[in-house]
Amino acid sequence: MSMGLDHDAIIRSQTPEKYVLGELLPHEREEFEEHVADCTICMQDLAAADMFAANASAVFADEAAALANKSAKAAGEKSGSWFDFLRPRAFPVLAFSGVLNLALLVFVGYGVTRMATVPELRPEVAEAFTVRPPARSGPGQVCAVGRSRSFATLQFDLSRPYQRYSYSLDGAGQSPVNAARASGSETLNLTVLVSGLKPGDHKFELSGWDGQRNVEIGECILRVEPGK
Amino acid sequence: MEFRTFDSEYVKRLTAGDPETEAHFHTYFTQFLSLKLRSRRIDADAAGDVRQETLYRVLKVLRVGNGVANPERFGAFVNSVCRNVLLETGRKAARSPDAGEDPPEIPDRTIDLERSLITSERKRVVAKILDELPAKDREILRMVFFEEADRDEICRRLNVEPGHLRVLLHRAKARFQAAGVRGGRIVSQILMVLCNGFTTNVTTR
Ligand SMILES: [Zn+2]
Repeated sequence: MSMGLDHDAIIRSQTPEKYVLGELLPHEREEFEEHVADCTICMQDLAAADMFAANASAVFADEAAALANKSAKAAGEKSGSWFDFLRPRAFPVLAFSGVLNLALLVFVGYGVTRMATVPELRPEVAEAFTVRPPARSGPGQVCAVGRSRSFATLQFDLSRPYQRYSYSLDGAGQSPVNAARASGSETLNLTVLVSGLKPGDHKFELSGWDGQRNVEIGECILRVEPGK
Repeated sequence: MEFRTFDSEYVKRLTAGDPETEAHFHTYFTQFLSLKLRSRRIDADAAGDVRQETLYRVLKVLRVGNGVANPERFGAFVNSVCRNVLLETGRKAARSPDAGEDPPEIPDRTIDLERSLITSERKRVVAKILDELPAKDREILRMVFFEEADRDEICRRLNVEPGHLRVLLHRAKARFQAAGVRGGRIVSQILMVLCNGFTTNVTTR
């Protein structure tokens, strides 16, 4: 009795791996499933590949979360008390689905990207953009980052301190960022964990409350490119 | 070479409600259907419904219906029932999100299996395997499984052939199997024990 595809050919061509990697065409997937349904060996092989993939995904997600926490903690320690409120954290409101789909870290530096001083952050996964003030750039500044990058740091030059800050990111709503106390001119670095963001344009806006009104500090389009 | 699991004796025993065969039926096809439905990115809740409906219909065909024409291809039969359930679910959802009757409750042994796919022990073994890989290969797997990045782009950026991804997964999977994760083996062991028990019955009848 035949089971459709030939078992040896399946093993030789690493079809279970192709299945898990999503490399089979729909009709190939159907044929393979028809075989697997009756073949104990292929079933075990496929289950092992699937299990490895699922746990690898979880391991990488854990790593990204640990990395984000560590860098946030390090940045918080180094930034002192200027913005004590800026406890970097993953914002639940930004989580779309899954583990750590998107987290936003916020930390403050003195014109220095803290990312560079955090050893756990591999430089190849961080990309920094200086977001120009609206008067000079208008709303159109595009910060393009590949989805393969783990982080994008948006740097905002503050001409003056504000009582509190808030940002908004398309599709993720608004979140307040309140200042603990005023200070001189500084740079505000907002680090977005982009690897879980959907490809496309996401408008990012930062504003500050000066006690009387909300002042736009800067805005840009965070362009997540599928494979840059 | 073939590794057949099913034949007329198996189907007879399942039809008669033999507990051991029924346990095998649930374990084997829960795993199979979970893989199938996950590969189609069907969410866990919907997948649970499809699995339950599929297993219910198969048992109904055996016990109150016409049975299966080709017991040696029993797995393919279950697969075809699942395909029908998926098609009907799609049509039903298109007609009305709330339409349709719930199938009678049958024990769903799939939930634990789904939940147990990722465990701390397996993650520890996988992390070790990943750490022993060259940095580039580890990065490839990270891009594949965590970022779900475009395959062509991964190959282009890291200058590897598409086949390299498969080879990487193949080797990593082999090491994962060789590591003999306790939790990871549970299902396989159940399958093998039951299959052996079944084989014994067949050969001694
Ligand atoms: Zn096979």
